[in-house]
Order: sequence, then structure tokens, then C-alpha cells
Amino acid sequence: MSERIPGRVSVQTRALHRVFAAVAAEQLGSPATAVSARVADDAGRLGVTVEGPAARRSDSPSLVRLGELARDAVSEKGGRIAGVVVGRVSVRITDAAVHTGRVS
Amino acid sequence: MSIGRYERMLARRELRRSRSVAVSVALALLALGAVYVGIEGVLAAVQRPALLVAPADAPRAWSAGEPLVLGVAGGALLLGVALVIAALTPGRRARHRVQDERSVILVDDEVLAAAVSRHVSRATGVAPGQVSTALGRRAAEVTVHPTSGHPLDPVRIEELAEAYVAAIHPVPAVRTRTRVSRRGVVAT
Repeated sequence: MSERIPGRVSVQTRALHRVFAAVAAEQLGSPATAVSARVADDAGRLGVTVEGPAARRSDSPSLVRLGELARDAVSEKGGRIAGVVVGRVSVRITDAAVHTGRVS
Repeated sequence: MSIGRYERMLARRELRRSRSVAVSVALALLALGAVYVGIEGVLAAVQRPALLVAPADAPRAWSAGEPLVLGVAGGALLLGVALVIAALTPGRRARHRVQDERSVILVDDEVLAAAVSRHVSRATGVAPGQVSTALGRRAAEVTVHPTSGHPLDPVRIEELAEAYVAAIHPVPAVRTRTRVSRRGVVAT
């Protein structure tokens, strides 16, 4: 067993915000800068709220489904990247950009 | 080899509050009372007016229930009760003796509590400000506020605190109880 190195690692909220915003943006198809994230305590777990626009193509799932996918991604992928146990996740889609796929 | 009678007495002296202040106050008041009685006696002997009550009039003033006499008697009663309480209570200081075969080691409870908090904080990776310990004579209560998203195992913390306190071996023995707060602290 390796010897425990003195000191502790802490992750500031700013870093957590960036991670969750990027993960949610990936699912919503929006640029990471357009999505914002906030974290709060959720009975010892980390509660996350993300807010941003969704970009939907003709073959994309519905906005609600996109939101659900973003929520799952924040909980699993975001939690894994940040190394935290994520509790409640709220996703708010503030705008939608719909691409029909037609080329003029 | 264990510490001897003299060392135990030394430890006892430091673990309990000194009564010297109470004794000094009581003796000073007694001396003032004696001086006053002396002055009244001399004034009565030379047939001069009394300062407060002449010794010959004292029994009559007491039975008549004069406010001054009753006030002095009431004050003396309260002081007496306070001194009896000070004499009979153990007057313990917030300190523990640490078991050692060669020396008398006394540790302030504040220091002991801070050491337990620091140990738990280091071992769990929680920020030092998120762990607090309240130490009484026979019990220590460790409260940990976890960092949100980093759940803690209460059983492990209990074991950590218990093992640490057991290693220090305070006298009297201290039982540990740990509590992991339901509310976490967001990324410190």
C-alpha cells in the first residue's frame, strides 16, 4: 500500500460549474459557453442546476428527451469527471435552435 | 513503573480549581467584621455614639427587625452558602491527564478536542473547518459536515475518533460519539 501523502485536494465550485455546464452542453448540442451550471448541497450529495439553450436537428429526440439526456449525463459523466456523488439535477432549456437539415 | 503519590497530588492540584481566592475573600471579610466589632466595642467603652449599632443595642435591633441588621444577616447568609458550595463542589478544570508511566501530562480540553478534530479532518480529507469536537469530562462528540458530493462513512469516522482518543489515553476515559451532518458544505 502506498504511503498517504499529507494534504488534501479540493475542487472549487467554479471548476464544478464548468464541468457540469460542458457535459450538459454536449447533450444539448449547444456551445459550453451558452450553458450555465450552479451547484448546491442536496443532503450531503451535490445538487446541480444547468440552464441553457438546446440545438435540435430533425433527427434529434424531443426537447424533453434532450433535457433528460443532459440530466443523465450531468449525473453520471459529470459526477465521474468531477469525482462527486450527484444528487438532484435540474435542467432548464431556455431557448431552442431548430435545424431542419434543408440546404438552400 | 507508574507515577507516585507526589505526582498524583501535583496532577490533582492542576486539575482542580484553587480555592485561594474564595478563602482570601472570606478572610478579608472576617477581618473587616472583627475590626468593626472592635471599633464599636471601643466606642461603647468610651461612651461615644456608635457607628451603626452599639453592642448593647444589637440584640434589641435584631429582635426589632431593623433593616440594617437584617440586611447584614442576609448578606452573611448568602456569602456563607456560596462559600459552602465552593468548598464542596469538585471545582474541576477543563483538563484531562494523559496516561504516562513517567510524567504527569495534563492537556487542556480545548487542545484535546482540536487534536481529535484535526485527526478526523486529515484522515477523511474533509476541510478542518468542517469538523468540530465538543469535549466533556467523560465524552467527546465529533461533528463532521461532509463536503457535498463526497459522502462519508459514519462507522469509519467513529472508529477513527475512537482509536485516536484511545491512543491518547486520557484520564478519566473519554467515550467518543460521532455525528455526520445531513447537510453538506459545497466545495470548499
